[in-house]
Amino acid sequence: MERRSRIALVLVTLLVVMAAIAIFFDLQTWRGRRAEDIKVFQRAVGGLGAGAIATPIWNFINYDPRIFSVDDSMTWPVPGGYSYGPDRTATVSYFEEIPENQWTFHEP
Amino acid sequence: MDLPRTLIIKNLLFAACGDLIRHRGRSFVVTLCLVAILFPLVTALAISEGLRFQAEISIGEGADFYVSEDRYGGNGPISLDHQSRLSGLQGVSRVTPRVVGRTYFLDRLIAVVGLEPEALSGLKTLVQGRIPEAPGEVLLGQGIARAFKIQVGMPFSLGANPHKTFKVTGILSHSCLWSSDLMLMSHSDANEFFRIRGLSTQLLIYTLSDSSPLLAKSLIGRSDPGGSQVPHLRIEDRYHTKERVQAGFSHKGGIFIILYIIVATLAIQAFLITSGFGLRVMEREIGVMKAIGWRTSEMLGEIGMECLLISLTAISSAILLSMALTKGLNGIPIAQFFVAEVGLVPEVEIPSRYIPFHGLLGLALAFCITLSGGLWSAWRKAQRPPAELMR
Amino acid sequence: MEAILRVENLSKWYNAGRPDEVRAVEDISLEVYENQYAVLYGPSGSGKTTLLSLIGTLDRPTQGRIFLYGRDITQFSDIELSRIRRQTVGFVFQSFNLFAGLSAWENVSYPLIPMGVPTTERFERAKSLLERLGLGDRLDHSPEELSGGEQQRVAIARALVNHPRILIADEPTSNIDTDSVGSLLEILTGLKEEGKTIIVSSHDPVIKSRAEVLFTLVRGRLKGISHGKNE
Repeated sequence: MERRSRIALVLVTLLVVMAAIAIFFDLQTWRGRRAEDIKVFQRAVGGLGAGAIATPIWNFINYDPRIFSVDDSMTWPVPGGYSYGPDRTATVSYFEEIPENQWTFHEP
Repeated sequence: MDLPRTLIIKNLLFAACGDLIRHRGRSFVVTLCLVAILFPLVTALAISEGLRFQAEISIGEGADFYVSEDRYGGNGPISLDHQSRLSGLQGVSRVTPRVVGRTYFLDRLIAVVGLEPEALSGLKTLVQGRIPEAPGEVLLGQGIARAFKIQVGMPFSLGANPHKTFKVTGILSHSCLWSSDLMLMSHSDANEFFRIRGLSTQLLIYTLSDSSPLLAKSLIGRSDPGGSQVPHLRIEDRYHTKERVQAGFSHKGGIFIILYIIVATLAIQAFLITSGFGLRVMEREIGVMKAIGWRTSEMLGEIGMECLLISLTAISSAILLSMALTKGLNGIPIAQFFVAEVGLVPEVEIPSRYIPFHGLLGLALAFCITLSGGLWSAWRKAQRPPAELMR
Repeated sequence: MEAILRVENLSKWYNAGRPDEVRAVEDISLEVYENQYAVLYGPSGSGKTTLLSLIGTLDRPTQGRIFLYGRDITQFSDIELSRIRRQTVGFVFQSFNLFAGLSAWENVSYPLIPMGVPTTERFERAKSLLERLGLGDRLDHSPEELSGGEQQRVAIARALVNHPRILIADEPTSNIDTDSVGSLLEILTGLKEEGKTIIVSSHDPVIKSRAEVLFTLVRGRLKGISHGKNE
C-alpha cells in the first residue's frame, strides 16, 4: 500500500502539474498572437462588440452598449412587472442601461 | 516547520492516499461527482473570461467617444454635418463615421458595418483575399463564409435591398467573437444598402492623449446645440463603457458562481444523505483508529488530506476536460448556455481563457464540499466512544 | 503494593430508563496489579466484553469509576483517553479489526502514523514484532490472505507496537483454530514474563486455567474472585 500510495501521489501531482501547465500555455497564447489579431480588428472597426452574443439578435445594448445604450427590453412588460430579454439570464454578460437625470424643474 | 510535524503531515498524507485506494469505489464516485460539478463551472468561467478579455480589447482599441443623435429617447443615426464641427474641437485627432446595422444573410442574422476606406485598410493582415477598394466590395466574417461556403470573388445581393449587389473580396480570419458573423464594407455602400443618406449610426471621436476629460466636458456642452428643434446628442465615452462592461460581466459572473455553489453544495449533501454511501465502513474504521490511539484531531487531519487529494484530482481533471471541450470541440454542447444563439454545435469560435483564479476557486469549492460531507460527519462520529462505533 | 487498575461500582446500561434497557455490567468492583495475568471468565452475554471495553477506555460507564495508575480515567477528556490508548493500554479485539487492503506490517504500524514515526522505522518495528510472533514471512500479506490465528497475531503485534504496559485481549481464542490456541497462550505468557499486565476475557477453560486472578462474571455481575492457577 505504501508503494501504491506513492504512485497515486505522483499521479495526482502529475495531474495538477498538467493542469497548471495547460493554464499557463493558454494564458501565453492569449497574450501573444491572439491578442494582437483582436487588436488589429478592433482598431480597424473602431471597437465592435462587447457582450456574450455574436450578433445583435434581441437588442443592441448587449451586443455593444456603445452602439445603442438604451435597453429596449424594458419596454417588453411581463406579468409581475419584470421585463427582460433572454440575455438577462441566458448569457455570461449583461449591460445595464445607465439612467440619466433628464428632469429639470422650472419655476412657474 | 520542525521535523516531527513534517513527518506527521507526510505520514497522514500517505495514510490518506492509502485509504482512498483501499476504498477506491467510494473515492472514484466522489471524484466523479466533483468533476461533474466542477467541469461546467470551470467551462463557464473560462468562456466568460475569454469574452471579457476580448471585450476589454474592443473597448481599449476603440474610439474615445461614440456620438449619435437622440431619437425618441434612444440612439439614432447622426447627421454627417456634425463630423466637421466635432473635428474642430480642441483635443480631437480625428472623427470617423461608422454604420452599424443588422440584416439576414440567408437565414442567419449578421452585423453590417460600414467604415471609411482608411479604416478598412487596417485589416490587411487579417484578410484572406484583399481589402475592398471599389463600390460593392465587401469582407465577410469567417463564420458566415464557412456556414454558407462563400468564396472570394462570389457576387451576391441580400433580400433587405436586392438592388444592391455585393462582391466578396476577402474573408476575415477569426480574431474575436464579433468578427465572425460580420459583413464589412465602405460607409457609402452601407448607407446605400440601408437606403440612408447623409447620416451615420455614430461618429467615432479619437482624441489626443490626455485630452479626454476636457473634451468630454466640451462635448457634453455641445450635445444640446440650442433650440427644441435641434436634436440632442448622445455621447458614450470609453471610460464609462469600460466600467459598464466590467460590471456586466462581473455581476452575471458573480450571480452564476453564487447560485452554482449553493446548488452544488445542496446537491452533494442530498446525495450523501440519501445514499449513505460507505458510512458504515467509515464509522467502524473511525472506531478502530480511535481504539488504537489516534486522536480525533489526527483523524480529522487525515480526512482533510483525503478531501484535499480528491479535490486536487477533481479540479485538475475538470480543467483538462474543460479545455478539451472548449479548445477541441468548440464548447459543444455547453457553450449555448453561456453565449447567446450559438446552438448545440456553435458555428462561431467560442473564446475560452483559463486563469489560475478559476482553478483556485474550483479547488476551494471542491474542498469545501468534501470537507462539509466528510469532516463534519467524521467529527460527529469521533465524539462517540470507539466501542459504540465498532459495534 | 497498589493496584494499577481499580474499578469501583462500575455499571454500564444500554437504553437506560427505557423498556428495552439492558444492564450489561452491574456494580462491579475489582483490582488488578502490575504484571498480573487476569482473566474475566463467564459465559456468553455475561458482560466480559463490555467490562473490558470500559477498562480499555473504549466506552464510557453509566455509573462508577475506573482508576488507572491511581488516576480516575472516567473523568478524562478525549485527548487524555487517546494518550492512554496510545501509551498505556494495547487492545486486541475479538474480531481483530484489521484494515483490509493494508499489509500485515502496515496494520501493525498504523498506530505509529500520527506520531510522526518515519516509514522505515515503522516497518522495522512492525517487522520485529511480527517476526517475534512467527509471522516474519507474512509481512506483506493483507488480512484476507491470513488465517484466523495469523490475523490474531497481527492484531496482537499492533496492540504491542507502542510498548504498552497493559495488554487487553477480548476473547482471543474465539476466532482462531484450536492449533493456534497453544501458540497464543505462549505469546501471552511470554508477554507477562516481560513485565506486562495481561487482562483477558474468555469462556475458554484453557485460558481460565492460566489465570493468576480470575474474575467470574454472570449476567453482568461479579460472582467471584479467585487467585492462583485454576482448573
